[in-house]
Amino acid sequence: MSTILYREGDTVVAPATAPGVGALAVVRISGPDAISIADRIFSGATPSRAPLRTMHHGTILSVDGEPIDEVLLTVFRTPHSYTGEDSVEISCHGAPYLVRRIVDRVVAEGARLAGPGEFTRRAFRNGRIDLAQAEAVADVIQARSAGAARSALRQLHGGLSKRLQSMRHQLIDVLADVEADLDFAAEEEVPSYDREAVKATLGEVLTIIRDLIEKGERGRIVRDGVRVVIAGRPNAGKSTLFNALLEEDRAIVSEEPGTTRDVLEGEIELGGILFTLHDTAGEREEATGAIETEGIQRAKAKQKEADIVLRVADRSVALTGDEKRLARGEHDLPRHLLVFTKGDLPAGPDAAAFDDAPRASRPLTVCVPSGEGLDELRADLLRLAVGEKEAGAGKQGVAGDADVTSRRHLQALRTVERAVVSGAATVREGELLAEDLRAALNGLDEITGEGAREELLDEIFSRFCIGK
Amino acid sequence: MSRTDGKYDVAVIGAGHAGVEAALAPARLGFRVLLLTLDRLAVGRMSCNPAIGGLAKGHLVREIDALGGEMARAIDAVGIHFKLLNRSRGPAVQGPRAQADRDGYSAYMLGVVENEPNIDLKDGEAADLIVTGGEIRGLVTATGEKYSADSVILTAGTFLSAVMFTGDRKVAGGRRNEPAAERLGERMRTLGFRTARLKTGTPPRVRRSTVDWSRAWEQKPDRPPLPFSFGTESIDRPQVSCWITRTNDKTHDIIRRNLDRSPLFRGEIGGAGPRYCPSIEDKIHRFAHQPSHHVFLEIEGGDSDLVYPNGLSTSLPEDVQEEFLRSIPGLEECEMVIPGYAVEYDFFPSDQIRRSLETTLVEGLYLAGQMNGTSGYEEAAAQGIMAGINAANRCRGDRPLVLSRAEAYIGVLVDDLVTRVPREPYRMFTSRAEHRLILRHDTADVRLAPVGAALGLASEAAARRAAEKDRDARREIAYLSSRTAPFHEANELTERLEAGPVRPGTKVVEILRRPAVSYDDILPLRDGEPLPAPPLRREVEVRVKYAGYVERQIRLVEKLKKMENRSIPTHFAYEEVGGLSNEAEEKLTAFRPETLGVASRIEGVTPADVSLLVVYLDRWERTEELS
Repeated sequence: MSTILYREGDTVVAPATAPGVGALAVVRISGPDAISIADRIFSGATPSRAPLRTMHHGTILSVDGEPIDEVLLTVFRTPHSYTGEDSVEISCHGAPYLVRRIVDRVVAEGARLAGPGEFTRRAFRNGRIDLAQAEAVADVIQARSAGAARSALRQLHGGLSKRLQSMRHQLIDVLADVEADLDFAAEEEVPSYDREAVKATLGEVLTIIRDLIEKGERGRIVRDGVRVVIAGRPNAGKSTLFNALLEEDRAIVSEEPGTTRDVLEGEIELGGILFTLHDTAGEREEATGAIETEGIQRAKAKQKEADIVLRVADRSVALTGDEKRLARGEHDLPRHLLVFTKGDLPAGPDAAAFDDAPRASRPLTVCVPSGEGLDELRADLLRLAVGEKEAGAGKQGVAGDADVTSRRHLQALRTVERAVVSGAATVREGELLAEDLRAALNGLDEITGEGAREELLDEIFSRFCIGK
Repeated sequence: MSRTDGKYDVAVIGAGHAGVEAALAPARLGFRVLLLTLDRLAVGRMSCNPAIGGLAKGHLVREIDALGGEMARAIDAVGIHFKLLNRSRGPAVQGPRAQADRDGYSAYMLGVVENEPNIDLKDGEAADLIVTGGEIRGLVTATGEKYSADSVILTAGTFLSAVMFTGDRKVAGGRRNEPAAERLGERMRTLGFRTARLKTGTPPRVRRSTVDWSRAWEQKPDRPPLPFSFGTESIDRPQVSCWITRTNDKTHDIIRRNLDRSPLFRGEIGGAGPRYCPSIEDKIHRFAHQPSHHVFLEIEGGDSDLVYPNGLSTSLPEDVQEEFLRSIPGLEECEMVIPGYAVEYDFFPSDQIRRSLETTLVEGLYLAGQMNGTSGYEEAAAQGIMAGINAANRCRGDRPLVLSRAEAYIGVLVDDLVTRVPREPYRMFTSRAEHRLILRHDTADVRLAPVGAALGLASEAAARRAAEKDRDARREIAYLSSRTAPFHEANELTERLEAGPVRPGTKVVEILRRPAVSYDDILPLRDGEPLPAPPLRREVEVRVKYAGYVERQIRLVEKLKKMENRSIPTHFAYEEVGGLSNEAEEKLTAFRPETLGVASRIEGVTPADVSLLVVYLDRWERTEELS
């Protein structure tokens, strides 16, 4: 009854490129009938007789034999394809309706529309890629800037898996010593594990893990972009600065305090990295109504999620205590940047006090009408996001060496970090040390997929858009 | 069946450590049980080391006790040297062990079996199994008696096609002077069961009166001894010491010179032996750099004239055994009473049983003990009681009892067996239990007494005692968590113990959590609340210190539960799942895992295979619903 369903995997089709108008689009067919379907819809060559991985020029024909589009068709045979199955890739013109017609035509020949992440799931299942690589593919698909695509590609080559494997072996070695002590020392002549050696190994692993996390944090920024929230008191010039950074008039600017009530968003690219700017309502005690109050609430919520809070202060008026502290660098808030606006107006007494301070300890002053300070501000934002060294490296350099960029990977690495730190603190108590080592190993396995579980896979695969 | 000599609910073949528990469980639940043994004097016989327990094994024994089994009570009655192992290490890796009066142990078990009205103990060899329509119906003995039984539990130990080796002498038999069971093995093979070979061994025994004890180092037993059973008040038998001596250059020379006379080294034994319990010739060969190995001289019983030299398992010829024994301090003048030997035997690779220990091929036929590839009395007894319980459950029409890996070492044992075939005799270790911290030997009652009581096997009183213990510990922890430590006293205390400063408002539980602080240290930080009894103080201390780790384990268990318990239909067609690796398909087809959790632990099954199974299970279930 169900035999037919299982005997052979069915054949699926979907666009492999993102929806929207582009010059070219790719439609991918994968499964046992992929090539025979291509035979039926393609005029040019006969795909089933085509040599491995060759590209053919021709036309996709409708059921009535009318041409749909002029395309390039590539044939892949199992196991030498992305999914490990027989596959065909059709490069067609990018118009969405053409893509749709080609997909419909393939479906009419017996293929099924691929579900989200189905090609990658098939590749994973056929042993073409491991879990870390599968995740990286998700990242490539979701990459929104050049840097993100580079770091995702790096991971795809299995470099991360290799480093994790070697750490895994180190931890397993230590665990083996510890377990031998626990299980045999009482009855057999087994030496106790060497606490100092354990500490040293854990130290080494910790260094690597922290390096991965640090670079990964940067990598995450490369991938997800940097969330910059522009905050400050009403009428400080937040929206003016927002528009200036975006180089367009997005926010309504007026003399009236409290004009911006909702959060506005815009994107800019600095050094190959995507920065999302959020213009928020000004913070003041005497909000004039429910809408403004709600706007202020939202502004505060945004700040919590921010990678960088860009605090804007009007230099021509008296500064608040908070602003003064920020300006003097007396705060422990990570990634807060204070900037003086209205550089064209005379400085008030509080701001003027900073005029003689050296650049490094003086807030940047911008003047939107003249454009003064804007480039410096952009450079400061980039530096704050990725660090001095990376920011100096220019477009190509940023996060080129980040191995881990997915949120799940970073989360798992932090689990490993916590477990290793905890283990190093409890080397005397073998059974607890063993617990920590196991937790660390589980954390690593979560990345490489060796301990993969159902929910994990669901989560990973559901993140794929159709086609990859 | 035309004629029968008896009708039983359950028939148990073999009355070793597995067989006794397998018979007692259903009998105590009210079922009629036939217990068939080759020799009733061998009931509960300790064929090798006269001791029960040890690391992880002690856990098993206390779990058996909590479920309502006999092993713990037996050793409590006849133990002559109790010792809690790993005392210097954490509570989760401590394990009780006791040397037994060897003959006393069998006599105790025989008495229990004979006094159980629902057990018919009969001498005889099972020669045939009656199977109709894939279901067990009973058995036939070598002398032609026919017994019908709804369930049969096979616990033949090392007796199937067993061969004993001492030097170049090869004798058929599973134990000294006891014949092998040949016909039953043959019958199992005709039923379609596969067998493979394993090996184990035992040391020679020496006469107690010929040992010079002054040359050995004395190891005193624990005072007071810690009983295994949660129901034992105190240990009454007089306790004896154990002595330790060592092998030396001379011993090693003798053995090395005669290695070519060892059947192991001549390649006569094909079955794999236990790596954790090598023969002395193996130790000397493999660890050539080690100049000496220790030997425990264990007295076999208060009145026994035999000594068991633990650590000298061997299959060398008798003359060599005698010679090397006499090279060891204290044994220079010893008389060797019984030579050591190796035994090679058939076992049934454990991909042929389910988690209930019922075979996949014959309904109602259960396998327990060494024939599943395990080693050790405790491992055998653990399987015995589970097979007994499940045979009874089958009679009652109840679902089998399956303990999880997070619930009991017994759960770990059974799960390990149904996910991988042992490549050497399987022994329990604490490291096999990933939830080790929540499986302490002294919590076996809290974990399992309710299970035992629900079955009707453990007493309600035992379950109540366990519940009270748990409740009192919780209550005390709740108190310590709500009690703010008096600032001055707390600081004085932590300063003295170098346990770090205390901030005002710190709860007492936070101070107890610090590694340097014991429960008794915090006594001055309590107020008038009644003081818990000393054993409970220890329990509270352990729970508080383990809390963070235990919570993490429990979270993990919860997280995995959904997948763990997702069942796979017995008729699921693995060959129709496209994309499984050959190895995975082969293993899954052989093991027929009952749940996805079990499937994921089978050797050779990768996460990719599991994810595929998930996909196909979804589809399978959808298709099943449709049809």
